[in-house]
Amino acid sequence: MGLSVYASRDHAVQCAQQYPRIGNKIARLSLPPMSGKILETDGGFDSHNTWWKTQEFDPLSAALVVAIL
Amino acid sequence: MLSQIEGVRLENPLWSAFSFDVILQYYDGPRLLLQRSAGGQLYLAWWSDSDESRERWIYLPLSERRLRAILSGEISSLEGLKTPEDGYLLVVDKEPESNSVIQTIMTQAEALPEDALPLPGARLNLPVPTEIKGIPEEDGPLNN
Repeated sequence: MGLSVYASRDHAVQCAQQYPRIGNKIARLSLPPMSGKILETDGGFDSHNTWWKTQEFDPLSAALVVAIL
Repeated sequence: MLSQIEGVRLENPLWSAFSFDVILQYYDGPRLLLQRSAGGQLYLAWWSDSDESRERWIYLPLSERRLRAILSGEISSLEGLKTPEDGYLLVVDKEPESNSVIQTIMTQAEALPEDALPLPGARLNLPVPTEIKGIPEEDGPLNN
């Protein structure tokens, strides 16, 4: 199952502001090749991507919280 | 468990089909929809909340002019929801798997918890879908 991520911080902030029940923290991640596969799945409207994470990659160890709404 | 919403419960279903149905924003599932009922009414629908058994959506009936103003960010999403052109919005609870409507409440934005609505000042910055682009913009200032 893929996870939703944004390439643009502005788009991530915009999304979180529109739907507060999703959560109020935004984290930045750099994804090395071993982290999995990523594909643009934006439908032409924003920078949405889907990330299929490998089991061995731990996103929490690589994430930096960059915004709290 | 989702909160109870004050308002007028409508008979289901309010609509039987949509002549178009576009996902404008997606984040681990659809979050913002643009739909047009078979009768021609446009709806912009925000995902609001969910629990184990239902998803809650806020349906704003709106004109094409109002749609353009909200999608462009000229009007904030919350302002759009708090000042609906027809004086009401619809809170629609759906069954997540089948997407079937569980209940529809005609109400106002004030009936919803604050954190179930877009944050104050939050503005969209989305292009107008091609389904709408073919329709000429209405003239005149935006009064509401």
